[in-house]
Amino acid sequence: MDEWSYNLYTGCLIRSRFPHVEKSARVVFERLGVEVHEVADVGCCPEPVGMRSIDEQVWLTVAAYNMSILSAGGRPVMTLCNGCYSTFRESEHLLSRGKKHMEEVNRHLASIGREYAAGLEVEHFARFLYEKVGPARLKQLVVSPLRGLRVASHVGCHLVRPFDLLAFDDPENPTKIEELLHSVGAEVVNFPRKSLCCGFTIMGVDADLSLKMGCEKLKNIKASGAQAVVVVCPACFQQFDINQRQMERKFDVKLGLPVFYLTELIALALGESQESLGIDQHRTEALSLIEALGLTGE
Amino acid sequence: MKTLREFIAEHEVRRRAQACYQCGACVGGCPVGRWRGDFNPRRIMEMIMRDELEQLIRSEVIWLCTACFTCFDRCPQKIEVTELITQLKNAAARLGNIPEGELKKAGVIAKDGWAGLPVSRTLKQRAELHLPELDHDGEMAELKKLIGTVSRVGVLRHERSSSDKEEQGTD
Repeated sequence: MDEWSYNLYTGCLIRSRFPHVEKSARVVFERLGVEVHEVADVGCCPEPVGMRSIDEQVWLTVAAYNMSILSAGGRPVMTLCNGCYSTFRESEHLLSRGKKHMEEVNRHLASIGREYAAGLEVEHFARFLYEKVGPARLKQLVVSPLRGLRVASHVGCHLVRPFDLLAFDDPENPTKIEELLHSVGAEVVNFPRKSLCCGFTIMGVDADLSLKMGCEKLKNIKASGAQAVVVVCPACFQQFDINQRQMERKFDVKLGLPVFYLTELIALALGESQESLGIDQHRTEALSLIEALGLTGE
Repeated sequence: MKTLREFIAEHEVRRRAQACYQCGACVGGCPVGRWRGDFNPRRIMEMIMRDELEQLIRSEVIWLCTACFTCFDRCPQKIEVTELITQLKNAAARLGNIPEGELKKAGVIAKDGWAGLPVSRTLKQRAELHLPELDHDGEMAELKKLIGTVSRVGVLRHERSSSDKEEQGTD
């Protein structure tokens, strides 16, 4: 086994609203031999749309504050969220390339006795699973393959865009997470307008439009024959899982599509039980699908 | 509108938009433009080039950008469309033009250090799943101080003195 050791950054949404997501990620890390270190005193990354839109300097400075703490022990940081990943990658890019940015940020950090030195390595868990673990190795570790489960993968914007900076998967047709899902035994279906945004980030600007964008996505996914949606970002999870009932009411449609975090499905395939993962904490009922297929873990 | 001029000049907004030849690849891929005809990144680039900045930053429309970066990825001229719209929003925010929902979200981060603290139900769920206890909630003093010190936007400077607020009104 490789030596994998990371400082873990869970981010606001996961730590405060979706404990089952955090649980599944920790289970997957443990089963794959990934050592994660807890880091205290960090706060919101800050989220890369609202805060950056209102005051980019605050966004950059607070990101550098968090990254200065997350550099502890010289370890790279593991994020569980597209938004945190985007904030840290984008701000690391701005700071390491722009002397002016770095000086200004560090002038502020100095007032609280901190400093950010460029070069923090930032990982997104899904990217780690694809690039460091890989579908082939993951497949070997599967004890309960997700046979009979037909899913659609929605990767979300900030894991793949901007491509020039992130260079992970093809933003127009992302397939790497689908490969991971194949490797744990699930069937993956394609769906139209796969790469469109889930709409979460404009909830505070135009809630109707935000829900409409999410609903169209779920309608396309359902029409493709998928039994569930798989996400790798808690904002997409909130939009599809928590807000699904609201979409059904508002637009008079029946969706009933369970939403899984990628790590939940991988944990099940690696033999973790659904009880210990807290699948019943989802807002949109997800348990009966995996029970019907006999995929409840060991 | 000296503030706006200075801000736009500082961030070279016009220069960075200049290579736009109005092909419309941005709006073709825009997830919001599909639904709201009044949100059109091509038109926003045109307005920047025509120096119609004041009109832009006074409109609600710029806030509809989800920052998905599709326009930036697809732009044949490699214009940072998303980032330019972000700069327009920053300029608008300094003038107090921030949608209420966004104002509220940013205010929560400035107040708590997190975009939302766990409620008792979540704490119970965390315990049921044997997750580590959360420390330092409701503290985050250093982070909050940073936001208050750095921000040029009123809502994020809640802990600053009133004289600072007056000064902010004139900058």
